[in-house]
Amino acid sequence: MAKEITWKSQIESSLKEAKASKKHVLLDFSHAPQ
Amino acid sequence: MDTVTYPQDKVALFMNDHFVPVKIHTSDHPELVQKYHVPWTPTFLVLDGDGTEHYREIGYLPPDDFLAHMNLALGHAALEERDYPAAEGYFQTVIDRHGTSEVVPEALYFLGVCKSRIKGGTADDRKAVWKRLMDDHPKSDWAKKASFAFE
Repeated sequence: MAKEITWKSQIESSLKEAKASKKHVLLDFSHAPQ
Repeated sequence: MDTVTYPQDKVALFMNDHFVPVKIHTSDHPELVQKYHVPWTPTFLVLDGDGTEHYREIGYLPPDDFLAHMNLALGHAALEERDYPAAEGYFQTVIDRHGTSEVVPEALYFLGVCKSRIKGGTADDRKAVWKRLMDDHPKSDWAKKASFAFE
């Protein structure tokens, strides 16, 4: 089964999640799909 | 990125294992474009849990190049957080698993930095790695930056 990235949309809650899980946040600034 | 790089299993696994990935559509969030000084899309920023930026890259990257850049990013983050063993591991991964990537010279430069800062490390340890950088990538900017150690 293909793997998928678990994208989030909120920065503040993602920062908290990253801190708790000792990960880093990757922000991807992109255009919305047409 | 959404059609070529992100659908790759190895990219998705790496992203979910190492990051909390956040997708921001620039047209929906002009305030974030301004806050993070984003000039173009795609732009990738790597932040720690306090919101401190450790790395950024602008422009499309194919899957292997993207993974090389993300390992480099995690190496820089660990180095700036003074976790030298972790940083060493990420830079070594760039060199071992992404040997044809354009970021290998940068990874070698900072691997050398890690070698000298890790417990028991010396300037000679850094120099040994930088010698490899000078020999294997003599025309790179990073070889130029390391050259002072050999004058």
